[in-house]
Amino acid sequence: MRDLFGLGWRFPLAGRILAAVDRLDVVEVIAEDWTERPARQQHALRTLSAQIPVVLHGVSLGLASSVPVDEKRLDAFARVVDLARPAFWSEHLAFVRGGGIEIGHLAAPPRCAATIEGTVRNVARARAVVGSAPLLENVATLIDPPGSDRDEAAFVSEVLEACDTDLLLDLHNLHANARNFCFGEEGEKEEEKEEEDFLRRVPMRRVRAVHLAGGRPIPVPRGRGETRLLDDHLHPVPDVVFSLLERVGAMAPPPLTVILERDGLFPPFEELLNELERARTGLAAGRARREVAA
Amino acid sequence: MSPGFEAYLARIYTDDAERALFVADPRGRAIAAGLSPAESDALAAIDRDGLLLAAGSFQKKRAHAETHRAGSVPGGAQDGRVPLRSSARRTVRASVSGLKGFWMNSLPGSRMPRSSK
Repeated sequence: MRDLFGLGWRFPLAGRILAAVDRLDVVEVIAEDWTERPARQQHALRTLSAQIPVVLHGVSLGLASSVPVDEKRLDAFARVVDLARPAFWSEHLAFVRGGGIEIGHLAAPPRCAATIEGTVRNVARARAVVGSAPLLENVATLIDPPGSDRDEAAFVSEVLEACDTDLLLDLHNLHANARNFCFGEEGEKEEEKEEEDFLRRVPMRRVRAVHLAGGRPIPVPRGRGETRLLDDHLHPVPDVVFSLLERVGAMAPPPLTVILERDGLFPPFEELLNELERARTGLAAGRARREVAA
Repeated sequence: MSPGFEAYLARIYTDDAERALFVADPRGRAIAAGLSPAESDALAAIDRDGLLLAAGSFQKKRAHAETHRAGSVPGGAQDGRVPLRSSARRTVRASVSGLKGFWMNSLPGSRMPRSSK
């Protein structure tokens, strides 16, 4: 089974993507783009999935929470799954609301037993309603999640095993968190060490998909020149993420579905295709090393 | 951590006034919000720089979503999204011929006449 490579479906890119379907294996569609559309517009999603294989990505269920997942959102999600007939669907290891307040985006949850137990319940409910369990994605965060009693690798690993589901490994999120929060005893950055540690500790047999993206550094308030890396999906994929993809190719079993996420500041479309081509080359290089090692 | 802990996080991520009070007295505000002593201690140790950065990022996301509610692409990044309608139509108009009519008629928010097919 071969690895697949594709782009995140964004409406401004629609025509370009459709014109390049022979250079793409798959597109990743944001489910919430379609959940509230009238039936005649939702028909477009079914037509798209007839043109090219589709995978679905959720951003609003908030499964990594001690609060039960919203049933109406799950029902709407299930209807989109029925339309798109994706190879798989995915959601984030994040909470997005609390106490009736919508945060507006993905918030890293407390990495603790209560969150794991809640996530297990929510994933089980999602599996029952949608008909399959989601792949779960590691999220980027600008804040070290308060209330945590374990690190991200432990949290992700425990959730995957407890939910018996697979991982959508976002390599820019991994890099951002390592860069933002991992320092040695004397304050030196240890991001490479952290990234390697994460890849060694998370069950690679559960990695089914990979996200590639870019971001930018933003200044820390009163930080004397310090910055944190914002995962904004508005910039080219950095070299370090391609290096991580090669590493994953050497560690994770095939097949993987690799998705390039770009949400704005769109470059010429050929540049996105070139980034995908670089991903193909990088993953293949990793695969070659894996075969040698075997 | 309890649902109340997540609820209070959501509040200090989104409410400027509560966040300012919290930063001035983290444990006191957490106790006042009904959190347990252990939860309040956890919040007292919060990454304050991260709190400010995250709150700013969430605020931008909400503002962007509000601005582009009809026709934006919600999604996965921490910041910034693209407005949709005009750019989408321009792109779709340049689409491949076989699917051109289809996408012109099926895009969210489109006012283009439906294809006769």
